[in-house]
Amino acid sequence: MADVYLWAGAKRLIEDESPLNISGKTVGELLQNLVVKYPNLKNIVREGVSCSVDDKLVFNSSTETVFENSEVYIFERISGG
Amino acid sequence: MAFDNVSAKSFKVVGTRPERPDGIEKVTGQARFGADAYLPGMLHGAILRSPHAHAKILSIDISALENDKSVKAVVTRNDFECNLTGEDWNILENIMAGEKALYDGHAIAAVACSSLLEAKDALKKIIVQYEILPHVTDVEEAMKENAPVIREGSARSSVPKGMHPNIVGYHESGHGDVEAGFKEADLILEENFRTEAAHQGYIEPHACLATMMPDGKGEVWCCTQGHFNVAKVCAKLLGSDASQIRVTASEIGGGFGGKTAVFIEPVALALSKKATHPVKIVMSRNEIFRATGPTSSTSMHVKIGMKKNGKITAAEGTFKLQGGAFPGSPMAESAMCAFAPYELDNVRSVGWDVMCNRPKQAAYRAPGSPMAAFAVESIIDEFCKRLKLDPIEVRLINAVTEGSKSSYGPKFQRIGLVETLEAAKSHPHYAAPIERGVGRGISCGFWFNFGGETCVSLALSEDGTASLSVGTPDIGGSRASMSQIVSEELNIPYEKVRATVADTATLGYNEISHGSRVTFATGLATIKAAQDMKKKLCLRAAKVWGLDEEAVYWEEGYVKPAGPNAGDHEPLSIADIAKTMGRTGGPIVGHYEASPEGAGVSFATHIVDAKVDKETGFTSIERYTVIQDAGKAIHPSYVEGQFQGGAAQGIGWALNEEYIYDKKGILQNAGFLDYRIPVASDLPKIDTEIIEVPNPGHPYGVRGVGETSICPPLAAIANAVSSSAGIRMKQLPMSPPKILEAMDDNNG
Repeated sequence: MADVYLWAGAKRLIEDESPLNISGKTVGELLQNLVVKYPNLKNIVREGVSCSVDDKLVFNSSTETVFENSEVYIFERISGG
Repeated sequence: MAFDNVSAKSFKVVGTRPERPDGIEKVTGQARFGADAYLPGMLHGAILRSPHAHAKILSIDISALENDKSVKAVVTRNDFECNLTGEDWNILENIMAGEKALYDGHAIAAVACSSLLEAKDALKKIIVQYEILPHVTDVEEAMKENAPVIREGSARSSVPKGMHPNIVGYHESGHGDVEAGFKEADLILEENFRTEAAHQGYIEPHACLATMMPDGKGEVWCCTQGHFNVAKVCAKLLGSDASQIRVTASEIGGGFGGKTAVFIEPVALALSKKATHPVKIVMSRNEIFRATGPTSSTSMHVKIGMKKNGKITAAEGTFKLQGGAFPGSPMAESAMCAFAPYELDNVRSVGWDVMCNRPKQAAYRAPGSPMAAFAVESIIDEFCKRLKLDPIEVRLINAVTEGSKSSYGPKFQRIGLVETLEAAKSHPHYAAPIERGVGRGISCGFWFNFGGETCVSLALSEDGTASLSVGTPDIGGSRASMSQIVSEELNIPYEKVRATVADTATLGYNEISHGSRVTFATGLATIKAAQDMKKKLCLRAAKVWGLDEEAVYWEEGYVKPAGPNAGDHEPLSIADIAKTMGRTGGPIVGHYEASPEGAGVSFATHIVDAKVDKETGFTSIERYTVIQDAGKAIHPSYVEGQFQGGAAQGIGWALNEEYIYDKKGILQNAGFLDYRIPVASDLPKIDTEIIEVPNPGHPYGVRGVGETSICPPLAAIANAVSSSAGIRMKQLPMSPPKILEAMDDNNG
């Protein structure tokens, strides 16, 4: 399972301490499993998140591969000008 | 043949400075911008706008127009979809008010007439009854308990319960123990900072020409940073299908993020549908200022602790951004970018998104980052002064490198901040003596850069030349860069490649040209499309020679047999294969479609010399140097232009540009006479130095360059001005009256 870190604004919605251990072979699958385990995060994920997988920033792609020991940071969706 | 991996590290065309493909059209006035389109029977649209900052719309009486033969169509909110939610609803609410006018300039109704004069006259006959409501335009005021409520229920789920309804977003990130870090510090500094809203200031107004038939089929010509997004938004707002609305992007006279948003196209389509004629809308400058997005205004608090040797022990910042009457200010970006240049054991960043009675903010180059850098880099400058430390050395001591944990979470991959600082340290500008009365300012800046949905098509012509179709409007020279990439990959001259921004019916969806993504993402797609074409060229040659695919290979623009066993065939050039392709299997076209990630973040360091006239408060920028990591500069002249453009816009933002509202919430300076952007005489020669630390996420090492260049200027200029004026400037813009006021306050 990947180690998942949430930004502090989202972390306060759940009781567990980071890192969260979440399974998923892709970013999309990992986010689905995250919401199943922590339903309080459903709206936050629905409103849009970006992430990094093993230090690679992933802004949009839900098919980005996540490995068993990956480190995933999740933060609010950000956009540019 | 393996074409999936690119190892081109030495380039023939990439990195050179060929002539720009749109140069002649633009200097001779032939280039067609948004307002340059005409159709037979075309009508002119005009939009009635609210004269109030916040008001309930009691009624809209259009009866006076019913017998007016000059009026061909009138639309109000009732002419748009009524079941939208989320950001779709926000966009609709912004382009045509529903129950309330939310800011001065909010669209209320629109008309279409045979002439613009008639349309403007018709607007005067529309009678709107308003109930004026209390308003708020200041971010701090809007957060107070008794502040007028813009709209209930707009808050994102991250906002803690019990907050004022105007607070619609909350972000917090960081790591370590900030309080413990402050205890380790030899000196702690904290300050409040404020910046005003600044408009992107594109010279070309928003303009479109739209046709929509009663069956829902539409055509739009418009200036935009993202025509696929225009099609998507128009379809949603009008209840049509995106595939039925074909959008063509015109040449663009500046966007800088401001043309990522949609304002007039759905209105023109709705008018056209009613009038069954094409409708053209061109916004006036007054409308642009009042109703299109400036960037957010901010109120920020930053606290940093530092050891005497310059090492930062802890950093903390709160960034409050108002985004107009809608959610979406880039407060998370402010919070995440603020401390990104520095490796910090203890850091905490908080962002608040706040609604005010102002126009919906729109992206402006690296949204959120320049303001945050202003606050953080000003404090760092103050440390350098108080601890008598060199500003570049302090930044080098704390600079992030590959493997550093970022303030927002993940570790950095390969980055070039240290390289920009080292280049700044050895730059002649930094070594030059500082004249009496002049202040020198330094600042670093950071931006993420993006990838996103991208699709290109590369077609071979029978004469061996190539046509590249891209779906990202060219806002910074991308047609030249893409042509260089094709030339590099296919070994054909740059002049034999034509890159075109294709309409929405021609390619798959392309995300907006934003986030400094085009040279990265469209460039990557172009490389892949060229590789696809080379593979097809090899297949074609193999077919002609009666060989298997593996028996041929590509080298220097030719397909060659792979060895003696493949037979004695003369190598075939692209032109050879192209000439006969109609008889050997048909057209040869390379494609690529993907959502590439791995854009590669970037950093910049700016050096500014500024001189403040202490009698008048006027600031002159004496010298300016931009040093930025581009990863790999495809066309260095365009990259330098991006660097200079960011600095020039930063000079305007830092020194003069601001939205000024009166007590009624009415914008007082909605024109270039009163909203002062820099003109040529305000600017020094802006020197540039391109640093190339390759982005590991791109085959050529490209990083975006369009946005990072506006991250350091506000702080670098503020540091220079503060040094020259002898007082720390904590509010932007640093216009003459504000500098005089600050000096007066300082003198007691």
